[in-house]
Parts: sequence; C-alpha cells; structure tokens
Amino acid sequence: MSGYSTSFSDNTRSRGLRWLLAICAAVGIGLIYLISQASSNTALFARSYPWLLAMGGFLALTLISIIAYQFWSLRRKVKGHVFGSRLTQRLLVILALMALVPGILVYVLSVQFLSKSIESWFNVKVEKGLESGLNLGRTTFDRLLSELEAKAAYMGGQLADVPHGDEVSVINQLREESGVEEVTLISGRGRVIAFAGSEKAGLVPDMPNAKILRQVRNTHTYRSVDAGDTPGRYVLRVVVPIDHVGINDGIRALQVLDIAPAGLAQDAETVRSVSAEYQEIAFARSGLRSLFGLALTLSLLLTLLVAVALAILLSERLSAPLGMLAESARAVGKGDFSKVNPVKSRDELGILTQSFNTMMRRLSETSDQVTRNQQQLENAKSYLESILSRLSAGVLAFDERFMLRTVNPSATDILQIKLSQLRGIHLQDWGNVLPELKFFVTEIVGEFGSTGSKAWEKQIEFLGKSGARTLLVRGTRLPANIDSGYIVVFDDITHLMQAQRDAAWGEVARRLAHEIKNPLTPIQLAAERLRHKLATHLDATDAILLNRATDTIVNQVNALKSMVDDFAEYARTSRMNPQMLDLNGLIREVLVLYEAMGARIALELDPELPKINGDVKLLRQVLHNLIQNALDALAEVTNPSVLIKTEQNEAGIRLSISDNGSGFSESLLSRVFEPYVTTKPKGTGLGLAIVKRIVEEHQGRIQVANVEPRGANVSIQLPLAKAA
Amino acid sequence: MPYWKNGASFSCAVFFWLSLLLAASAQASELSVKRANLTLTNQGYTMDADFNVDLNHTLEEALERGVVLFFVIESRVWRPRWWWFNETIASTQETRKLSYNALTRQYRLSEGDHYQNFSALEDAESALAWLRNQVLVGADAFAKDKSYRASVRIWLDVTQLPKPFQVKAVTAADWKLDSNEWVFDVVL
Repeated sequence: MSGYSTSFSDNTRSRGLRWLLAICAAVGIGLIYLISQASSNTALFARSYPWLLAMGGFLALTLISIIAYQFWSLRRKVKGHVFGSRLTQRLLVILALMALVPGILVYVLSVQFLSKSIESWFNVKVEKGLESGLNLGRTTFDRLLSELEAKAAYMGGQLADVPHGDEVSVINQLREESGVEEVTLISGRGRVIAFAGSEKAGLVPDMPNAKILRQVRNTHTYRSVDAGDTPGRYVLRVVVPIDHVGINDGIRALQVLDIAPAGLAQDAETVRSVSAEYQEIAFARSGLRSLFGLALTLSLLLTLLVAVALAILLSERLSAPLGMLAESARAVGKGDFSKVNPVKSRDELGILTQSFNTMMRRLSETSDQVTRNQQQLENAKSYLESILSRLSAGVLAFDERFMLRTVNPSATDILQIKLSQLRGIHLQDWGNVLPELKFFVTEIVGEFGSTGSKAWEKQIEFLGKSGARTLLVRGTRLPANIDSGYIVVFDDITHLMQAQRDAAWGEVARRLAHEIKNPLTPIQLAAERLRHKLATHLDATDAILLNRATDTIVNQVNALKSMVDDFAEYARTSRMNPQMLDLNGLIREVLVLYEAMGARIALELDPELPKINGDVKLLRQVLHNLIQNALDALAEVTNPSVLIKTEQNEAGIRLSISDNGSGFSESLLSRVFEPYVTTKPKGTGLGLAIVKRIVEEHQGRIQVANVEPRGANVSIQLPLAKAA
Repeated sequence: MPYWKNGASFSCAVFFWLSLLLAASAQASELSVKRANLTLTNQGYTMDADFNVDLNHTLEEALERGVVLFFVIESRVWRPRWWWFNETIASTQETRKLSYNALTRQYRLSEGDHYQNFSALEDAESALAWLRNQVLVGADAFAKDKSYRASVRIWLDVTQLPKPFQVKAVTAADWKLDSNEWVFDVVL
C-alpha cells in the first residue's frame, strides 16, 4: 500500500492537476466564447473556425486524458484498498451523474429544438410566393423588351433606306421620337456607325459583345435584360439586324438600350434579393444546423468534461478529510497516536477533525500514562526481585492454593534443592516429590493450618545434603485485599546456634578456669611450704614420703594449671591483632627452640613467598601446636622426621607439616578438630581445635590427612594479604 | 461502470469531429492551372495564365440560389534560397466575384468596378479561367545571373461565404476548391 509515503507526491500531483484543469477550463470558456463570436463575425469565423474547432478538439482530448488519468489513479487506489478511495468513487459517481444527466438532456433537447426550429423557418408557400414574384418581374421585363423590340424594328425600318452619312441625324431624331436611352448603329464588322444617347447615357456606347453581334448577323433579334452596375438598375437591350441590300459590309445591327422604369426595377430588385436570400438560407440550412450543432456539441463537450474533471477533484477533496480520519482511526486501532490531521475547513468536517485530534491527543496521553505506570510497576517488581535475590533469608511465596509463586536464590542455597521444579505442585505434595522436604513441608502446612491468618515462627530441623540444619521459619498470610497468598521466610541459624553454644561454653570455660586456677597457687605454695618446714623435722622415711607427696601435689597442680590455661585459651574471645608478616621468618624463629631440644626438622621453604596479613602471636601458637603434635607422634618412632613446607598457589599460600609418625585412625580423622579429641596419652585435646579456630580467624582452611606409607600431614591454606 | 461509458462516448465524438476536419483537408479540386507564364510588357512583367474552371453541382446550385462565390487568383515571384527563407520578389492577389441574377437569369463576373454578364455559366467560367496582363513586377526587378521561380494559384475563398457555407467548406470536400500553387521557373 502506498499509504503516507506517497501522500506528498500525491499532493503535488493533485495540485498540478488542479492547475491544469483550471487552465483547461479557462481556455474552454474562452474557446466557447470565441466560437459563439465567430459564428456572428464572418471574416473572423472563416479564418479561425477550423483552428477553433481543432483547439476545441485538442482541449477535449487533453481533458479526456486528464480524466482518464484521474480515473486510472482512482481505480488504482480502489484496487490498492487505499482508505477513502471508495468514498471518492461514490461521490464521483454522484457528482458526475449530476453533471452529465442534465447536461446530456439539455443537449439532446437543444439539438432537437435547433433542427426543428431551423426547419420551421422554411415553408413551401413562401418559396412559391417568391418564385411567383420573380416570374412576375421577368414577365414585366419581357413585356418591356417586347415594346422596345417593336420600337427597334420600327427604327430599323426607318434606317434601312437612309443613305450613308445621314445615319447620325436620323438616329438622333428617332431616339428622341421613341424616348429610349441609347441607340447605336453598328456595322457588320462591329464598328459604330452612328450613336445617339440621352443626357444620362455615357459618351461611349455600351457595345454588345461579339457573341450578340454574331447572333444578329444571322438575322436573329437579340434581346436581354442586364443587371446594371448598381443594384436596381436594369438595362433593357435589344439588337436587331437591318437589311440593307447592296452594301457590302454585311448586315448592320441596331442596338436600342433603355433603362427599366425606376419603380418597377426597384420592386423587381427587392423581390430578387429577398428571393436570393431566402434561397441561400434554405440551401444553407443543413450547414446552419451543423454550425450550431457543432458549436453546441463542442461547448457541451468541454463543459461536461470540465464538469467531470471537477467532479473527480471535488470528490477527492470532499473525501480527503474523511479518508484521513479513517486512516487515523485505523492507526489509533494499531496503537499509533502520532497522526494528527490538519484542520482545513470550518464546517462540520473541520469540527469532526478537530474533535478527533483532541480525542487522539487524550488517548495518546492516557496511553503514555499507562506505559509510564507499567514501567514503574516493572521497575518496582525488578527492585523487589533484586532485594529478594540479595536477601540471605530464603523466601517462598505461595498463592491461596499453596502453589509456589516466587522463590528467591537464597531459599535454593539454604535448602540446596532446586525449588523451581516444584512449581504447579501443591505444597502438601512436595514431600512425595522430594522426600527430604517432607518434614519441612509438613511443619509449614501444619503451622498455617493451626494459626489461620496470624503470623507464626518456628525452628525446624532440616536434614539436607550438607547435614542437619536448623532453620528459623516464619510464615504469614498476605492480606486478602492485596494478593491473597502465603509467604514463608526462613533463615539458616545453624551457625548462629553453634556460635551461641560456643560463646556459652567459652564463658563457662573461662569462669571455670578462673575459679579453678585461683586456689591452685595457694595449694602449690602450701605444699612447698609444708615440705620446706617439715623436711628438717622428719626422719628419712617420712621425709621421703613428704617429698613424694609434695612433688605429686606440685606436679599435679602444674598439670592442672596448664590444662586450665589451654582451656582458657580455647575459650577466649577473638583478639586478633593482624599485621604484615613473613611466614618463613616466623617458622625459622619458632624452630630455634626445637633445634635446641635436639629435634630433627627438615625445611622446604619457598624463598619467593609473599607476606601475609596475620597475628604473629596466634600464628606462632599454631606452629608450636602443630610441631609439638608432630614431635609427640614421633616419640616411639625409630627414624623420626618432620618436614615443614611453604609454597605459593593460586588461592594464596600453603603451609604443610608432615611427619612419619603413627598418623590418625580412621575414626578419629573426621572428628580431629573437635575439642577433647586426642590420640596422646596426655593432653587436653584442645590443640587442633585451637589451631582450627585461629586458621579460620585468618580466613584460611585447614586439612588433615594421613600419608603413605605412614604418618600424617596437616596443611593450612592462608589467603594473601589484600593489596590495600 | 457508467462513467467509463460516458468518457468513451465523449472521446468517440471528438475523434469523429477531428476525422471530419482531416477529411476536409484532403480535397478533390475542380480548379487547376492549365498553363501560366510571365510575359515582359511595357508595364513590366505580367502574369498570363489559363485555368481549368469547372464548378461542381453543389456550387452551381449554390450559385443559382444566390450565393456569391469569390475566387482569388494569387501570383508570386521569388528567388529560392537554400540556406534561408526564400526571398519574395513580388506577389499580387485579385478577387473575382461570380454571382447569379435570378431575375435576368444571367451570371455576372465582376472584378473591382468591372463586370460582365453571361447568360450561360460556361461563358462565365471561361471568363474566370482567363488571366491576362496581371502586372506583377517591374521590368528591372530581376538580376540576370540569378534564377527565379514564379507561381500562380486560384482558389475559392470560403472566408467570404456566408457562415453556414463556411461550416460546409470546413467539413465538405465540395466546397474546397483550390488549384494549389502551380510553380514554374522564370525564363528571362
């Protein structure tokens, strides 16, 4: 479809067409005027009539081609289903019929009337009358000629015997007697012998022509009426032969001329001229008919063609705003509010267009508003979703039929189950799909069932893939006026509970240590004082007993002290004091003590090892504990060896301490970091627990493994110092 | 659809009239030049020519019904120029008027103030066909070393006919009488 892309060129073409049509109409009107003028002006008519006709024909052709083009383009629009073209077509048919039917009717009537009226001008009676008038004139002239002929015959008789040379005086006398205008005597050779004329006659005789003389020479009288040089003047001419035996120059001729009486001649001339005019017009009537017919036809043709062309233009113009409105309405239907129609007229169409534009503007504003609201809603939704996805708590939203609507990533992380697979399944049936959820789900459904619309909160134990977890689950029912449904929010509080337990335990341990440690020093001092005071007073056996007893007290008190210190150490709250340190340097510093004790410890230190961020005191304790453990494990080994190794890897740095001692038993390996788990005959079992805590405080990880063929390996992964 | 038919009928009418116009220009002439030549007289070079004049029945009837026929005789002398328009040396026209008097039953041929009456049409025709001493150009008008051409033409002047006959003259071949130019080389 051409649509609006061609509307501009359509407009220009239509404007051009309008101009062309206006020119054609103007030329046509001028032409019709000229034709009517030319019909009355003979000279102009004759010269220009063919040109006028040709121009008329050319104009008609131009108009026909314009109309044909208009029809063609309209047809194309109708076939192309261009909006408004059908309306244009209908309007055109109506307008064209309005122009054509009366025009053709008037034309047919005019032609009929024309031919009838022209025919009615002529009738037989007038023709007969005029013919009779002419005959009357001829008869009168004939009688006059007969009179003149008689006079001529008389004169001829008189002249026949006149001797040569006296003719002139005789002719003069005869002319005056008879009262004719002019008498001429002509010799056989055509020369004037004698001539006599009245005062009105010329000085030179009006000679008959050779043909007349030839006729007279054959002794025939010639008589004729000649029309004179002025209308209404008729000359009667009679030429008679004069027999003159004996004269050799042949038969002479006598011409007698007379003017027809003025009154008679005038009447005859009137009859003649009227008759001639009548005859001429009667003869010309077919020409007259075709003249008027042609002018009429051409005028009508031009008028009708201009009318039809105008009808096309008008119908296009009339239907254009409607078509545009329809086009706009269609565009609105498709959601395009941008097409605003220009208001061209002040009539109802203009008002309609204006109200349509107003309506469209309102619609456009409304639609913009709707779009904005939708955008806001979407923003709000995505805002909500992003909050949900960043919540550490798991959130499950259900509709009123307990079908899952929304689930956030934390829920999946906590439960370690892809919850989106449970969409469209009733909450009660989740246990059937995933058995591990059965208890969790049953608890939730039960709570919702028992509390009704109130919010509830409950701790639920959940046995997931990564062991038992304690979840704090809160449930509430959404108010019915927003979006009825249910929301379940749960947090993994396993770590929290562990921390609470640890803290409580630490507090107990610290106090216990404090309470136990306080009396130990007086006990030890008391025992030593006993030994010191009593040693001199007792005999040898009692003194030995006392010494043994006091030694036992002191040793056990010392053991108890160190045990309480360990206990306090484990229970202490974090007091990290991090600083940049060189791990290799720390290892060497620690090893100085053990080398003094004679232990054999091998080193494999990475010289490129970067510095780490850590607490020197705590890390030294880690090294002490681990090295002491290793040495303890080697107590009964024949060929003991310990290897301390540092290296750098992608996650940070790694420290590992290996020995070839007895290693850990399988049952112990999984619980080695729990407090009071130990393989050693003496010890609190807190060493590795403390190590683990310190490593974790450094954001590191610790792993324990047995090595082949025998021995154990503890490796610690520490992160690099942040490039702060 | 009805308006298509209307358009077609209009165009048919126009073509009809145009074809009539074209037919009118294809003429069947009853006027022709029999012979013509330039003669040097003491008045200068004069055109002498004989025409064939034979009026057809339509014109005869028109004449008898009082229509006056005007005949124009035109003579021209020019020097042909191949590179430009021809140079016209001289040209002259005379109009002869042929009429019929129903009262006297005479034909009258007049030219200016001169007239002649004939009781027979043939006499009038032969008088019309006879051209003598039509003074065209002075004796010194021609250069010896150049070539000239001359022409003579006689035609029925329809522009002086009454209007209805002019329409006929436009549309009907009977009214188109024209000898066309009869061209000949001037022999000095």
